[in-house]
Amino acid sequence: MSCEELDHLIDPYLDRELDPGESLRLEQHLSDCPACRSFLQECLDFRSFFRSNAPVYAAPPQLRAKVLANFQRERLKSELTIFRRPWIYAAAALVVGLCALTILIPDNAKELSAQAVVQYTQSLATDHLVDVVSSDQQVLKPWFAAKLTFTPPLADLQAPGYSLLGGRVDVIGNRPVAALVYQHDQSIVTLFCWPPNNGLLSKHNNLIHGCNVYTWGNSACNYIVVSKLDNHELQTFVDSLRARAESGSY
Amino acid sequence: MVLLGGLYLGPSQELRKRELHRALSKLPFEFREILALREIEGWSYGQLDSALPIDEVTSRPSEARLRLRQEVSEVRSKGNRE
Repeated sequence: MSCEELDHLIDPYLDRELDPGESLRLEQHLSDCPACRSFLQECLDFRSFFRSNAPVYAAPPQLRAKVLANFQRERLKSELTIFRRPWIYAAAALVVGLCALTILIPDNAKELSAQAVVQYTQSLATDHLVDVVSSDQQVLKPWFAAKLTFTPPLADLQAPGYSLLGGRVDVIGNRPVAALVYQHDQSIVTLFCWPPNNGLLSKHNNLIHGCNVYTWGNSACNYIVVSKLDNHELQTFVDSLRARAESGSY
Repeated sequence: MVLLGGLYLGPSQELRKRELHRALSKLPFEFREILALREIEGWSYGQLDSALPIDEVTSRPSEARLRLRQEVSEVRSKGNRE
């Protein structure tokens, strides 16, 4: 692959939209080309710059439902008439995304929760749940240690009935975080954690974009748990993790 | 390939937010729309393709990001001169 080709493919690659063969060719080129590695880093920096500086907030469910209804209605209309540019629904969609910018100023936990939900949704939509497939601490610990400046307190992060599928590294609040992915029945639960250097995350439970989100922090880590699982069940999972941490098993 | 070199390790968070907002306000609507749906809402290319009346969806997020990076760079260099 040439540098020029990489230039065209880097965005689909980072968006996890490139097919595996092309991804592999691109990664091979990256490993041989320092200039393209700098470019990759630049793209990653840009994404994290954008996500952490666009103070986006989830639209209330009623607004969201209304916007989506408009969206479909306008789309139908545009198919029936020669009205080819249904700006109104695009504008409506933008309300959900950008126009909510500074209207509501969420506290830190809410903003980080919204980012965690984006990561969670994206991992499901692109079917890219984990980068390391293992439930074994002996495998996960060195894998995270090689990628992050900390390792999650894995011994605490287990709950009966929730099988650990593996982990990946995401960016939340402009910092790399560990993501652990669990399966419970048919549902995916993702736990994000990072050291509480910039302050302890407050205890919250929110519903964002149809996902239940729990946040809390202790001396070892800040945690955000996201799942589409029923809130009562998710609460049981979170309680059991908190109880393990408090009993000092780590 | 456009390298902007350390552009995002800016001064204060507040200043960076302001710069980003100014840069966003200069982008054409279509680009802001793509960025909102892709970066914030996390839509896949398939979802963008089925929802938006545009061609060549796969190249659009890159174009929008590139434009935004250029605008941020411009906003920042103007800010430095002021």
